[in-house]
Amino acid sequence: MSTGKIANTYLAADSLLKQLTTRVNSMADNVVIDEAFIKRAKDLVSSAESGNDEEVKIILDELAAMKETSLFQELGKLTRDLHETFKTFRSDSRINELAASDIPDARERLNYVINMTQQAADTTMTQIETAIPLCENISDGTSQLLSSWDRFTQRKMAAEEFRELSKTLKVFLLAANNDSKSLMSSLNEVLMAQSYQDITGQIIQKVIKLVEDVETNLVGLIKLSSEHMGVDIASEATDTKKEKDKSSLDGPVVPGLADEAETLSGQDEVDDLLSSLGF
Amino acid sequence: MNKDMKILIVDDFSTMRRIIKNLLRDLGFTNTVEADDGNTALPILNAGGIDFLVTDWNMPGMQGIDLLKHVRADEKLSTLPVLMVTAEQKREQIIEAAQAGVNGYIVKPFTAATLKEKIDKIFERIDG
Repeated sequence: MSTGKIANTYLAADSLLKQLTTRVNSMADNVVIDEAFIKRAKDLVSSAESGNDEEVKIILDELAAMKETSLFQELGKLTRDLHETFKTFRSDSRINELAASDIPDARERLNYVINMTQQAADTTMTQIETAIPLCENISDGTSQLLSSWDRFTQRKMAAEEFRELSKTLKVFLLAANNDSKSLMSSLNEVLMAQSYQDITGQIIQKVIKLVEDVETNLVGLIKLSSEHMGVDIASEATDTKKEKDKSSLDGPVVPGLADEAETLSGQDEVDDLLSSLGF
Repeated sequence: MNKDMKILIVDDFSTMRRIIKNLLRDLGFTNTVEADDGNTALPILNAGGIDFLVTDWNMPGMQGIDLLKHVRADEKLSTLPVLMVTAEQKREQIIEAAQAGVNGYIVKPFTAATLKEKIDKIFERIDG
């Protein structure tokens, strides 16, 4: 958070403190004169004139209490205001904390998400690259054996050739047995690699929560600053957003976040646009 | 279309390079080289022998669109077929790529079928 914004909160607190001092001083000099006070004052005069010392004493005490009550009420109100201001200031310090530690922390978390997804993709692809040749072996071997087997069932195979076939068959079965075990282990690795989704999901949820925190605090700050500076910062922000650098790339389209007029919704629309351009 | 042609794959994410490389291998193209942005791609292109360029758009260093413009401006490279594979799908960006002389444009995420279709189309035009 900028020092300007901290200063604003300080200014608010400072001005309240000054108000408090002035009001306490002036209240010591001036009594709030209302109807009840005037009535009791008149009672005081008549009691004094009639020489009722006891009554004069009571009324004087009452009048002093009235003066004190209004003083305490005023003090109470100012104390509350001051308390509210300091509460705002505390939420400002939360922003300090967000900027100083939570945001860098979120950056780390998101980097970790990139690393985890990269690792999962790498593992998956490595296993698939291992598995594909095994599938090819099995597929090649079975097509070869199938054609030999067909010839055998049609009794078109000489005894010598059959002996060869049975040797080939044995070799193939051994290889296929091994290959299918390797395939299963590859598929298991691929399965296990998907566990990143759970972990990255949790991390991203934390970051979403943080972004919400930042948003709430920023809105509060903007309100506070604009109140004290007499500027409508919120509407200024939307103005600058409109003038966002047009040359910056948007990256992947996130459903619900894209500017629908300007963004195409997939390969088909891209193809249509390109063909309209003569592609 | 010559299945032995040398293809340069340019993307800053190694995962995406690897996916494209595997898809190309499935389509019968095994002669591939990789670069992680325009700046590392250019020396490979200048060294010669590249027959087809597949590039991402958004990369640190030199972006794909600038690489494309470089290729088209270079006398020796100007006729090199270029396929852009990117997450960018704004109307103005696609028009910009078309104007810069891209031969095909695929938006991520894409399928093996799309890649095959676009490559076939590019080489149909060139061979035809």
